[in-house]
Amino acid sequence: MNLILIVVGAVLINNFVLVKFLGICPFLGVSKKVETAIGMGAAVIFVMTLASAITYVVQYAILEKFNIAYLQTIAFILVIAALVQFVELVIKKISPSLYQALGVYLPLITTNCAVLGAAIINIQNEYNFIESIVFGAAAAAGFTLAIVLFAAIRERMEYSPIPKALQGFPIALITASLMSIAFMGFSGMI
Amino acid sequence: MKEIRKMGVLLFVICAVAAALLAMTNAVTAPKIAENAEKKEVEAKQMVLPAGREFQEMDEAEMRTLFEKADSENLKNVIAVNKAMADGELVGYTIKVAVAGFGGEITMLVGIDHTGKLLGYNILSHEETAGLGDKIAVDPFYGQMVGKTSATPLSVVKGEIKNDGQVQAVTGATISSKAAISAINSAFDAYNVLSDTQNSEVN
Amino acid sequence: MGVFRHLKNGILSENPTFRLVIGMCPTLAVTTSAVNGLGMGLSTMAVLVGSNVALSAMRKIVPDQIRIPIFVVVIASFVTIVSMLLEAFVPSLFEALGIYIPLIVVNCIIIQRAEAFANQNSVLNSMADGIGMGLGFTLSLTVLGIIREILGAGSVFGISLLGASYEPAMIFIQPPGAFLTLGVLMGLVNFIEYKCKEKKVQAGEKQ
Repeated sequence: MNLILIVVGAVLINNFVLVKFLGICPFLGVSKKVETAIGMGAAVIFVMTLASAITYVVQYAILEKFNIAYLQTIAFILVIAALVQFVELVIKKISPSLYQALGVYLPLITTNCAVLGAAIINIQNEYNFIESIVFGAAAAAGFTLAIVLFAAIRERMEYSPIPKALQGFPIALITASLMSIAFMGFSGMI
Repeated sequence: MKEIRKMGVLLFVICAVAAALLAMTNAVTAPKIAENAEKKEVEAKQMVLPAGREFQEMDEAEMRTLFEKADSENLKNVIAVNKAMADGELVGYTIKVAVAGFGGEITMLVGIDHTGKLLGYNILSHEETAGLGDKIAVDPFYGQMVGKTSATPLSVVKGEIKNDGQVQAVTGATISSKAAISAINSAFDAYNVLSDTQNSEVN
Repeated sequence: MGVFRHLKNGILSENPTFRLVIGMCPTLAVTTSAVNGLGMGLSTMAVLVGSNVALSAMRKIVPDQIRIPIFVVVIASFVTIVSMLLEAFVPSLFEALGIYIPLIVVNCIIIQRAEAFANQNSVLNSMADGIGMGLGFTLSLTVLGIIREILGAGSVFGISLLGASYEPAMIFIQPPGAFLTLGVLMGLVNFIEYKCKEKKVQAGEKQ
């Protein structure tokens, strides 16, 4: 039951992109085409789920044990950076076709604040190991949902007569605002 | 090979320097941070129970066994109870309650004096809608609560108030208002159990 | 002379928010009030100046292969120091900014300046660049915070401005308001720029 609440909360109510503003850079940067948005989303789901699991272990097996919780930021960002590199290597070896699809997005994920954000929120909310993994995966799914919907809207906007001053980022932000209003309708579901 | 060793040493040195710097900053700031946190806790408690000088937290296991006997759903919302003392006498309780609100959990601290009168409450954390649900923390909603007693459980109404136990909901935030009321009622129930045990001990 | 150019560069021609469009997460998330915007801007600036100076000083001894990990360690250290200082001495701001303080680490502004500027320039110039970029970022965040606070709460820096009769448009301090305000403001900046360019062109034709 608790896990269902976490999933619904992370995907719809506190959507990472539209409510918590995590992962805005890729949200604005790689959302011109639905296809690339799906690729980015898949890569984020993959990395974020793994990162949630590993940072949980790092926090409780190393940082808290040795009483050095103040090194959390450094430890987490290094773990995430290393993880991304590792995932890149492994995917390259195992499945070249998957690497072709996701490869270009992986380096971008290191500086995606959603991944570090999810890791920190897991610790703050005192989630246990399973809850952390579920939260990481659900938050990433929420990110994917938002970015794919957004890309679909932007594809359509290509053909709209937009005033010159609003072209590019301004109209993208205004679109995101409308999407955010729509997502506000989900609050109160739990 | 020599190159790699050089890089490894450099990386190690930089990490060591960084860790040392952080450990130093931590040593300087940690006591101050702990002091802030403690001050904040006492202040939060005094805000809802100004007469209290010292606050003694009740043992959680003891609290649970006490509440289990009373057999009330509401009491499950109670997280912690503090006895507020002044000059060695009990002046009231601060009761920490968590209930489900509109956007997520609402945690609040409720102050009840030794006669069962609600002195005030303080919302510690919430995820209610900004500008609507979060009005449960301010007047006119807040003002209606102060002075209510544990003898009558409260309920929320949208229109006119007909009796003493009724409270007018925040416009546009009925669910948040109901959540706040259920938190207060939980605290009242807790108070009733606590004062009963207190009295029987005295007798 | 160069120092001043770098200062101006960050505030105007390469303003991180309106020109480079980087560091969007904190820009949108914490600008619910002017104070929060200003606090976030200054915290980021402190980290940026620190990391720019440190990395510029180390640029000759750091081999290219391990540049990025070293960048990350240095930046994360500065962020942690700023975060501890805030928690100890400005606890209210620390609470308001919450999770977005550790997330300064992944603010693209900082790694971008390290990579594009501090890695190639002298310590003094890197410091100027850090201050300039930091001020540009702070300015954008504060302006956004002021606009959202006026519209959404009727006050500026917590001081009531529009009186009790003003019914605040709450949407502006909620998430959609962040996207909307920044989008419209960015459009406005573009609009003014196009107008200025047109005037210049017209003036050129007359001559």
